[in-house]
Amino acid sequence: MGKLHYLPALGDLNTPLSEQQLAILEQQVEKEKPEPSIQSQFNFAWGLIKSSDKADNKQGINILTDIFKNVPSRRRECLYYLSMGCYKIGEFKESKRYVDALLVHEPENLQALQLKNEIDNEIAKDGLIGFAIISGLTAVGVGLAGAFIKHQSRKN
Amino acid sequence: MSDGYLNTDLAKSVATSVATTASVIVNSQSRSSNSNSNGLLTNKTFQKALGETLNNNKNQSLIQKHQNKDNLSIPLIRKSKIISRLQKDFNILNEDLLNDIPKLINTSDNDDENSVYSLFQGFNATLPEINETLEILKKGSSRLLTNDTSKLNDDYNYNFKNCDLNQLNHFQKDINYKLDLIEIKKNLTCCEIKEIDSKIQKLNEIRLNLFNKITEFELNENYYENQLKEIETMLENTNTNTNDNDDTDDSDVELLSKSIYGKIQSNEKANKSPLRKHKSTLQNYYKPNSIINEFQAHDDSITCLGFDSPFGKLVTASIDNTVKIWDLSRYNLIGYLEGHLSSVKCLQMIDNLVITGSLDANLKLWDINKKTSGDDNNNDYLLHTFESHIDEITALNFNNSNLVSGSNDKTIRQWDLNTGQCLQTIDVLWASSIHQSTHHINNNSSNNCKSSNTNTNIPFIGALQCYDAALASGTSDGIVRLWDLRSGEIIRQLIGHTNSITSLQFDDLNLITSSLDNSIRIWDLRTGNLKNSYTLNSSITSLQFDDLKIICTNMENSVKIYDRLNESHYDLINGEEEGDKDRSVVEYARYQDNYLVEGRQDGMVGIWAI
Repeated sequence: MGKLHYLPALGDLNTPLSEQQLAILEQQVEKEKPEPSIQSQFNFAWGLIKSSDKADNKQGINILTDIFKNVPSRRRECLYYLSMGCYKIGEFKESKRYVDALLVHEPENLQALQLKNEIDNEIAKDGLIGFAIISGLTAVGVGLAGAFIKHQSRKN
Repeated sequence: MSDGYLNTDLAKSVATSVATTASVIVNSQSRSSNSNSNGLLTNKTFQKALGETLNNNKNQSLIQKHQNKDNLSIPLIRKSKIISRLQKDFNILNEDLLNDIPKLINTSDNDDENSVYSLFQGFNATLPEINETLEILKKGSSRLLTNDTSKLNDDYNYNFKNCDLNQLNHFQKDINYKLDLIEIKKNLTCCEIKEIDSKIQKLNEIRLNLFNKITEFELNENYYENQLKEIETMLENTNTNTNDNDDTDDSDVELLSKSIYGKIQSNEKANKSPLRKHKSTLQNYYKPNSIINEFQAHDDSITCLGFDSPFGKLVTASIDNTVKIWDLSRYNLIGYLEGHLSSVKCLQMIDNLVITGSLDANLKLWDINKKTSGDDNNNDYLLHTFESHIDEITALNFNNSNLVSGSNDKTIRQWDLNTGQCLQTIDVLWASSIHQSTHHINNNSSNNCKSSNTNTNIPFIGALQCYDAALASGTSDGIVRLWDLRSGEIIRQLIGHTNSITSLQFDDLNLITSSLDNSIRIWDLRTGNLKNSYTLNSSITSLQFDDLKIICTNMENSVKIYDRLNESHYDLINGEEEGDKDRSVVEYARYQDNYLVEGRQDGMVGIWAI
């Protein structure tokens, strides 16, 4: 297939379409209403996800979730697109959920594995901050529990 | 965990409600003790009741029950609510959906593996198109007006000659790429078609479900309608003798001044007081011209039939000398109309009233809803017998309180349905003999025809219809006569058919007749002119029409329908079924509200949606 990969690579996320291109994609969906075809919907959604505007990205994710709900036969690939979309807006938790769900069914999907890798890296970065908070919380929790137990044992 | 939470929550609510009721009672007690001893009494009972509720184990189980109910309703929380609680500004799929991913469909494995393309590939395939349209837009609308196809051809025209290896390689790659694009687009379009197909299938399934629901509703409706009728007749029986003779014939004075034809419409509206509260509409949701059901009603040929409403009651008469009542919603036999000494040749049914005309020269009026007190079981439904004719009854028609009957004794009799008396006798032999003497000289063939008719079983009076004082008769001499029942004289004769009239019907505009000469003629009732006519392949035995359709039976194994709007003819057959050819000859058919019932020579009754 050469130029035509089955799924988009990570680099595709950062090649936004022009505003006119997006407008045409949107027109296409509008034209086909009330029953727009899946392809047109996806085209617009993917265009939005490629956009550099976060609001656009979110709208794209919303369309993709609709496609996911309505077209069971497209769910697998939609998971990948959704994972990428969430990755782009920094929602790594959701992104990981989606890609994990995909990997359950396609454990050897190289692109998905690659994406998961990327996400894990990002989460690890975030995790440094998150870990501090969580560990702090657990320390407090453990302390409280210990105090409680002590208190109980004294009572008895 | 959640159960426990719910328990405590519920317990709390119970506690608060008990507390409030208790406080109310205590408060009211303190007040009422000052003023009224009655209040105290009632409050005591309240207290008692309260005490019981608190102490009784039964009530605890009741609380338990409610709790269970609440447990059941947990999964009934709106999913949208859960999502809104997540408070994100984009949609997130919940776990249920994430886990619900179909396995790769087998069909896609059977096809070429390449034939399944991703949406992303579809996206990439459409990008060039978008860029193209953008270019066109940039260059202005003038390009839009020019022929697009020529441009396409330019694109696909590669100049192979005078190219070096590099260019050829380049072309090859380019073409391969374009082929891939086209292939992707093609397959994605195919996918869309599949999507639509599956949607249609789903919709059909939904439709079937709804259809079954309607069936169920209408069965219930029928059941209650029948019960209602029974109750009404019982009520009527108790209220007898109170209001019997209210309806006297007082319209005669008006009749003279008004045209009868003009009255048809207005009267029909006024008289519509439907026995049924609701009309059956199920037949409208069947595929048009499909059979709804068929069943063996008689062992021998059916001569005629009538029904009150779609999926209501059906009365069939056969030459096996029986007349049967059927329930069209359940297709079971309700009862017999017994009393005629010979087979019934014609019958008419309006609502619950049936009049049958038999070869034993009698007419009988039945009420199929009313079973008169069951002393003589045989004549349960019989209301009255009209005895005067001296030969077999061949045609009858009634509406309101007017009944006309035609017999092979060559007379038409008019009866009053309220009194059961014969009002007048019209001698048709006399009328036709006049015609014969004038017609005889002109046309010998018609005479031959007639003589042959008298030998066979063809009735002298083939069809009758009356309305108020207007009567139309069709006889074996092929002439349709319009009578004025007030004077008993012929107003007009419609000549045209070359053989016996077998059936006729008129409304406020048209009179339509069918004959053994294979033709159906549509007459203008006002002028008496022939408006239209058409011919079928064989003798027509019965006909019925409304504004939209003319249906008739013509000794063939399907009912013939003429669509009056599209002016098209068609046979009423089940398109796909092969069994149509095996069906026997249709003898008689009636229809109402797109619901047709036909009776066949082998005793089968077929019910169709048309």
